[in-house]
Amino acid sequence: MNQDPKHPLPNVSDMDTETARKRLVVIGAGMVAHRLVEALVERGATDEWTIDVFGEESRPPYDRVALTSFFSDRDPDDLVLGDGSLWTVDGVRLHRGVQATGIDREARTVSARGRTYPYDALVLATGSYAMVPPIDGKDTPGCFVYRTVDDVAELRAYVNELAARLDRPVRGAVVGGGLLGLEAAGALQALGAESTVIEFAPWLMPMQVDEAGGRTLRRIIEQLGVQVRTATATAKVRPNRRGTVGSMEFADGGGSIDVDVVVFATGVRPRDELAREIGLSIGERGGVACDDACITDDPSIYAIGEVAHIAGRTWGLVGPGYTMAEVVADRLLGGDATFTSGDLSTKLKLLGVDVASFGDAFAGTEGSLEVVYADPVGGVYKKLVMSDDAKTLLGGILVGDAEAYASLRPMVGSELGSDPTAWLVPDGVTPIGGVSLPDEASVCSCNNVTAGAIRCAVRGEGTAEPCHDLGSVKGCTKAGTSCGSCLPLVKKLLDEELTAAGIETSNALCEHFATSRAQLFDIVRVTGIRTFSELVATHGTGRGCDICRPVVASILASLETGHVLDGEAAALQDTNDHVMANMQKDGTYSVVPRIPGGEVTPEGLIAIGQVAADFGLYTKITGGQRIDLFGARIDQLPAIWKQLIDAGFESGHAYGKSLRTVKSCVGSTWCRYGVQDSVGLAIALELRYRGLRSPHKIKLGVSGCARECAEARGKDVGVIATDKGWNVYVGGNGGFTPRHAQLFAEDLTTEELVAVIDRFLLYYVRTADRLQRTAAWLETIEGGIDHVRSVVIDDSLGIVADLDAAMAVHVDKYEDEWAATLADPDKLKKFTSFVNSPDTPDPDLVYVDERGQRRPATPQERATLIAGTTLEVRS
Amino acid sequence: MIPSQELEWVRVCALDALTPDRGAAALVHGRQVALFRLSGDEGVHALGHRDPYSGANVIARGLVGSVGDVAVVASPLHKQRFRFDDGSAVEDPGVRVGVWGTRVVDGFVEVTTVPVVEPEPPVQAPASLVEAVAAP
Ligand SMILES: Cc1cc2nc3c(=O)[nH]c(=O)nc-3n(C[C@H](O)[C@H](O)[C@H](O)COP(=O)(O)OP(=O)(O)OC[C@H]3O[C@@H](n4cnc5c(N)ncnc54)[C@H](O)[C@@H]3O)c2cc1C
Ligand code: SF4
Ligand code: SF4
Ligand code: FES
Repeated sequence: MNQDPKHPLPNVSDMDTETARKRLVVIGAGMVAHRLVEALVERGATDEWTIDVFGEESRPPYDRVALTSFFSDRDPDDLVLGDGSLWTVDGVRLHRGVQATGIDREARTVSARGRTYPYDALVLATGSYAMVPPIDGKDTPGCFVYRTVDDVAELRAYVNELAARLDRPVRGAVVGGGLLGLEAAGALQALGAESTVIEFAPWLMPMQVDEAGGRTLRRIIEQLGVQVRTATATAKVRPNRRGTVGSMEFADGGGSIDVDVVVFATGVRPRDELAREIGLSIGERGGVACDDACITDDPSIYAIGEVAHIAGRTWGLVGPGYTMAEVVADRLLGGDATFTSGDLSTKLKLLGVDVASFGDAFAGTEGSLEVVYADPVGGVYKKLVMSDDAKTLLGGILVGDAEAYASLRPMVGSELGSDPTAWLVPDGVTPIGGVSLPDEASVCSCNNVTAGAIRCAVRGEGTAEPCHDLGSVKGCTKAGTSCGSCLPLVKKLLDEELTAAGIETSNALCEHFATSRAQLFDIVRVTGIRTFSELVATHGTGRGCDICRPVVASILASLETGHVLDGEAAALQDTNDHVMANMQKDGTYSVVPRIPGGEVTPEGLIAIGQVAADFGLYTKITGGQRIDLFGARIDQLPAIWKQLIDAGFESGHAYGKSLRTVKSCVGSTWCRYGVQDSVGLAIALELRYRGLRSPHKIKLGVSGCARECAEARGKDVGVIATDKGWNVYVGGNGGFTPRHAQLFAEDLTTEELVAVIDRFLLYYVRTADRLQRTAAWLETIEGGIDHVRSVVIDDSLGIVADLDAAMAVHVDKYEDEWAATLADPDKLKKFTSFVNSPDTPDPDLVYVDERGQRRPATPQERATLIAGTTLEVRS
Repeated sequence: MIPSQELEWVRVCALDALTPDRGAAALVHGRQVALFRLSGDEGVHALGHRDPYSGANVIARGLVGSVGDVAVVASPLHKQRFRFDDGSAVEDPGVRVGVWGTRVVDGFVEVTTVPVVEPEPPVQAPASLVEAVAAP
């Protein structure tokens, strides 16, 4: 690195003079280092310490556990841990893309990029590297490992490039049939490649499951189209004529197969090279040896995470690593925490297959008993390991159905209460109700959160505020923030604690209906009840309210597609839906004509401008690429709409819980980068879904290429053009809690895309809660986005035909609500200021001019304006 | 309460002009009144049209409903619910919309010329949001 003479880099003495604080240097910026810094900052350590973290990867610490989600949700930035604010704390510095190259124990310095950094304490958090067995041809182009974002990005690019070139599917092989290997095989499948898993041991996942479990796993995986070869050693990778991977050969006459891509997932080795250089003790199979305080031979050097050899071994999971991080944070602040042992339980969900293993899975305990349930046809194998008296749970293996994992794992070491076989029956009926978890049971093994800690957070002990929903429990305790497998149990504990505190956890819509919106939807659909009065009489109580009435109106609209003002429905609509405009603070309304895809003709613009001028309306461009006209009195709405409809406009449904807009970029028609006609698609989608009533507003976006100028991933449904078709993302929103949409399906034709969006939207309309945007719905629906994908794409519930038919009815029956209203004198009667004086407008409306337009007067302005005219103000 | 014999009545509209469970605004001696006809209920209710929280004339455009046994209307702006019987806000009984007397005569709705219960704005409301009354 060249030094710029005008801006010399700080040297050792500059850093010394910065403060009188002690200096902590951390080598490695992975998951465990992140947790260490987070724990230190949370505990106020930056008063005493400055913290310099060196990370060789170009990214800030990210969630390696979720690496495979890179294939379903391309944006690696979504994997980054935390919101980045940690690295802006005073005294904390992250040196990204900087490798530490040496340590000087005498001088207590670390060198990196030709400079030295002094330390008072040093933490090694260098993790592991992916081990590649020493076979011939292992470096042939087309061979990959699976450890970092860069690894998976390269793998993806390579497979995609091959797929574009070959006129057959890409053939992939994964060497290693453990947890990582199966993740990699899943990733290859997600990339559209064929995959073969080659495992040296006699069965898959030999570290986690027993032989019978491995056999069941193999059967399920083979049914999903992944080839499996066990008890097979790979001998050689051979190049093809282009010099890239062409085939691989097996040892002992195992033959050979043709492959294009090889992924090695044969295990990891600790990155202990710096420690070796300076003579620290190393464990027998690698890893920096440390005591139970994570201290190495050198009292000022600690090792944590996968690089540490502690309690007799290295630990390849993030949970034990996090514990070590907490131990060191405590030690640096003068505490005496220790690391005794870690939990090696794992749960994996890949290719839709559940595998879990926890506690003493291999029944190594003296006299332990095994209780087994196996359904080879259904592809389920479950085993519980019990103490010799069959009372205490010691461990277990679940293959094919791991529902019970979240409940069972924390029970390890506790009595299972009832008959243990009850936990193994299908349908995941978990008799947790009867058994209550002890406070010290670990609920989240990734983040070492106990049942007690979750209960405290819910009660608000030691937290700023009691946590009454899953999101805040996650935020406070970090439970469920890594692999997510513990979330069902966290939710259960939360509900139990809330119930105990007398806090309502029911999913009742309001005091008038004890059912959720989704249940009510089904009731209406199944019973055929089509009026609110009948529904509240048969399934509810009282007169209803401002919560349930609009919900029922929306459900009826979804099932009936009648006019919003027809019959009894009129009395159910919120004022916005009732007068088909948006009420503003002074009781007047704003009017938004639909401008599909944001495309508008000059004549259209002039017509809108004319309406605004004629009625004295304030105009503003909305975020949804259309125009909002403010200050319309209820009695003016029909005349305004007459003029708009005559100019070719229709209702924009800005008032409804329904489709708002489909935002688009200009796309291939004008943009030099565009690969598809985004405006054309946006218009087609907007015209298709206009008027669709839903639990909350729905927004869509379409971008004409990957540059994403339409910000489609901030929408409930975002479509991004690819050179092969369209990618569709779901569950994005802006607002209070912004969310990025997640990839749902790739490279669809326009026809396929429309079918996917049709079904996605209708499934949402039917099953979401009131005022639940798609993001929250995907988070709460059982099985999440994978479940929704299987319903929409694989028709796993057998309802696709029904959804398609319902959408066809919607499209067919659509009519412009405003045009229909203008044609019906009965409906027009609602748009009067006063029943007994229809020609008098609301006399209390007062406006002032600002920047060339009208706006409502402020209270102060009103006081003077009203006093100055004919009105007196009573005080 | 004003003794009933002193009440004067004014006819505002036909009963049929009111949609059940939906409000309608009327001008009564310069003040804005929100009329409601509740389904399954003979009579008509008249509350002040002005929302005491926002100062906007919108109560007639709220949704009707019930809290327990009490019939209420929710302000369309910020959803505070007002009781039909005494105009008070469910969440904040010190705050009230006005209540007018009503009766139905020969199929027409009549209301009292002045409210039988005067409105009560929230304590911190700016003076200008206190109901402005047109000079008679
Ligand atoms: C695909 C995959 C799936 C996984 N799934 C799970 C799971 O489900 N559950 C689970 O518990 N665990 C899982 N793991 C393991 C988990 O990710 C690791 O245990 C965890 O990341 C270890 O954290 P760490 O900080 O010790 O190491 P890492 O996260 O590997 O971080 C170490 C960092 O240090 C950097 N570094 C190394 N040397 C230097 C140097 N000299 N200078 C500067 N920087 C350096 C490295 O580049 C790396 O970024 C999975 C791992 C992978 C790859
Ligand atoms: S997303 Fe692509 S096509 Fe659309 S405007 Fe941006 S660069 Fe052009
Ligand atoms: S951001 Fe707030 S002020 Fe702006 S329109 Fe939305 S609700 Fe109103
Ligand atoms: S167990 Fe992995 S996030 Fe809780």
